[in-house]
Amino acid sequence: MIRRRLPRAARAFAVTASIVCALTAATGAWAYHTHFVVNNCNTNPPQYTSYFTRDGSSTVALYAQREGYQWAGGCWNDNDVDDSPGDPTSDPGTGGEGPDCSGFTFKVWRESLAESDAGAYQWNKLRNVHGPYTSARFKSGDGAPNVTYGKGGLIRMDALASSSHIGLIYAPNADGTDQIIEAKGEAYGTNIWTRTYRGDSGYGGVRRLGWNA
Amino acid sequence: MALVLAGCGGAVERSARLVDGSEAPSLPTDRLESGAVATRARVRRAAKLDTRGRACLDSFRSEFRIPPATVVVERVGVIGASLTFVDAQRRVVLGCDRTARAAASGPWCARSVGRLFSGRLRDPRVDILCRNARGDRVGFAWVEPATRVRWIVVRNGPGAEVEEVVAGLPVRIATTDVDAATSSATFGVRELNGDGQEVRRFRLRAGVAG
Repeated sequence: MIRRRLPRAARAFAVTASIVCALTAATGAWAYHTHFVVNNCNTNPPQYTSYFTRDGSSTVALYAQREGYQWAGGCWNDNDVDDSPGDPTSDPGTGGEGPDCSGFTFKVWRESLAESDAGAYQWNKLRNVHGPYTSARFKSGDGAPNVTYGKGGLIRMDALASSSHIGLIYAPNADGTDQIIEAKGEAYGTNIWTRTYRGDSGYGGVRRLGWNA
Repeated sequence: MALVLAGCGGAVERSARLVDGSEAPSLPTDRLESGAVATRARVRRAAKLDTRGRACLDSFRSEFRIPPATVVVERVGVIGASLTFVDAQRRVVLGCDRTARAAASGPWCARSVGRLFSGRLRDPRVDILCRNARGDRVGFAWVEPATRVRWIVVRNGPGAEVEEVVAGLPVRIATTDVDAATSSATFGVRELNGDGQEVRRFRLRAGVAG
């Protein structure tokens, strides 16, 4: 045992080192780190709004277009460049630009951190926030603002969610597919693509309640 | 947790109830901190699950293939209970969580999916929206045990839960240390080998993702 053989200073170093290693292993932050969030993002409170529309949320969504993807992320600027490209997939500790799929939906739908609050809150694009919902949670319609909804009736800014992904309808296509605006992954970033989620049995419809228009 | 006076000698023995009302198993080692309670971990086949267990698996079947022979780890602790299993392709780990408080949506208050990379999770897939009987938030997350780890001790206030590592699957752990403002939960974790010796110790602060 190290504790019995090493002098006190060496023992302290060994213990400290083991804790640091354990911490970095737990967070995964040892592999890679970008400073986008540290250098650009804030924790300012959101602004409550009594009037919010699908048009407005569409505008919020378009700010994130081409701004990258960050697992567990929720902060981006509006320069149409992923300022932290190539982050390791599914690593929450890299501090990069962009949202993940559920964080994107939360911010575009202007939701509250309190799941019992169905009100609308304007989050600045540089506010680093993900929100309490995973895509599985959205798919189940969890949270006061969210409900499951028949896929046939979904319109612009409604969502299609699976247990591991969620995308927002930017515009339905005539052939039954949809233009989906979504945070797709590190290799893809956040953008608009034509998707067949509506016809996929793994995806369900989700609607944010309370739109004024 | 209740303290029970046992026997004529006046020795004090711990007796704790798990969320299903059953008594906690005996602690696996005497090297644990005071207040530690052993949870119950059982390995089942998917085909042998009860109605509640089947409801969990069925909720994933439109997206993932889960054969009847799938190994499912059922955990019952003081804070919550969970199921953990992987899909037939071993691409994802899947699970459901519950507490003593009935969920409006069915027998489980949370469902989680974690993508596997070379068989391991990179993200603990924390969920923070379950509530306990008092209405407090409960966070659930998976941890990937280090090599040789047999027991995982998760500190919770004055108590701790002791989880056995079984079936080579990530271990679903629970905490009431949830921060709604940052959509995150914090878990104080100690990993022990089969002799009860500490392998590593870390504080896992996990944010909601994906």
